[in-house]
Amino acid sequence: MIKDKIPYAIEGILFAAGEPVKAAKLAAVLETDIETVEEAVKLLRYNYDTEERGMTIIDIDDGYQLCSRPDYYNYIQLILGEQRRQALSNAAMEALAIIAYKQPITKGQIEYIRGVNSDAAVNRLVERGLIEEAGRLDAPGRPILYRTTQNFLRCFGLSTPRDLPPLDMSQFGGEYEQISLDIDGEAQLEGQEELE
Amino acid sequence: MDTLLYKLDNFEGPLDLLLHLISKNKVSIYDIPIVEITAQYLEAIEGIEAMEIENTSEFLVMAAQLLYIKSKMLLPKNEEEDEEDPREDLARRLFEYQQYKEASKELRKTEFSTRYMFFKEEEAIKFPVPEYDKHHSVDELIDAFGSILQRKIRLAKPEKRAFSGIVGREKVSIGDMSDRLTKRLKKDKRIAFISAFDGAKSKPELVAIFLAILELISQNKIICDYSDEEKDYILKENTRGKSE
Repeated sequence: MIKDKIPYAIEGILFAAGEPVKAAKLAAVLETDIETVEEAVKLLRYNYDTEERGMTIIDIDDGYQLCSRPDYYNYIQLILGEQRRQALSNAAMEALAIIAYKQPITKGQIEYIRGVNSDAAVNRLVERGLIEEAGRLDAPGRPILYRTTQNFLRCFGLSTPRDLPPLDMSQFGGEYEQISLDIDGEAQLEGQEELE
Repeated sequence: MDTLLYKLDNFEGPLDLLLHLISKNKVSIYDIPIVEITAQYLEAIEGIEAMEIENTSEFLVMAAQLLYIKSKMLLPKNEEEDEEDPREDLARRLFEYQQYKEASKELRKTEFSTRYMFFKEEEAIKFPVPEYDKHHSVDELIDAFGSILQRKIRLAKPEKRAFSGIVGREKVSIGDMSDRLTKRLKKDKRIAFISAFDGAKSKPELVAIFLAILELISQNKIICDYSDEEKDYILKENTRGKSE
């Protein structure tokens, strides 16, 4: 593959794939390295942005995805129809926040934190493709574990769950400070002794 | 005391309501004035049974918990005991819930980040299914049919006569099984669930042993725990005084 053509090959691949394609995979297929792929995407983006072309490339989950530019939404929706997205209920949003920061997590653990039954909320989130099953917990009952999906990242403008902002709890006082996500996606409380 | 009408629908649950009361009273989660808060909470959920609220039971459970904490705090403290603050567990739960409530508000801000972008769906690539082309002889078919027949005969309902040996009125005392089990536990200290049924000679005996186990558990005479290493339930004598 001639180096010049790599950006356009990527463009074609991303178009055909539809779903996100990982940089590593692009590098392998085009028989080049990741840096070259990243440079190519950078070039594509630059061209798209300066000319306000109809598409743009977003970062999702260590991969790239082609999508239409928001500027042209009005015209596209006239042809394709309105994207009617219903907002999530507060209950679903709470459950989603818990799952996003503590994934993987079971329904029981979610219910313990919220203090109420969360069947409806969790089911709703599954229906909307925002969370998915991630195996089972090795404990009596073998409850299902949930995690967020790629679609979740897309809807909330994140490229990975690590992009979730750490919560600043200092305003609420007490010895408990920040909650942040570590590499494995588990929430941890910083700067406090063992609770139990 | 102002009497605000609480629309319980507005709260996601008892923790949500409590956070609201705590903030309204301008107190800290870590030092809840339990008497005052409990009173306000009870007033807030007054008549909840008549309203069609989701999570009514959770609100009531919390009411009971608040009353329990209040009673513990009102009892005179034993100077020798160094018990933890009865409010501590509640404070922890409230804090954690509050974190995620805040997080969900933040998430709400970016809920429709890609509202104005269209994405193409994954390509539905159809792989051609190869036609079946292996060769078989008719004998294989006949054998296959033969084994189906045999299976059907095996699964067919047995004649009534076959039951006469089992459905006779064999009486097995649960009390006897219970005594037997207790004696075994005293000697062996711990028994695997499966082995509790060793030596059972008939189905009524198996059932009686099982019922005996359940009875002993409900009387708190034995404990049943799951053991990860042995991948089985283990029965043990309950040497602790209280139920857990």
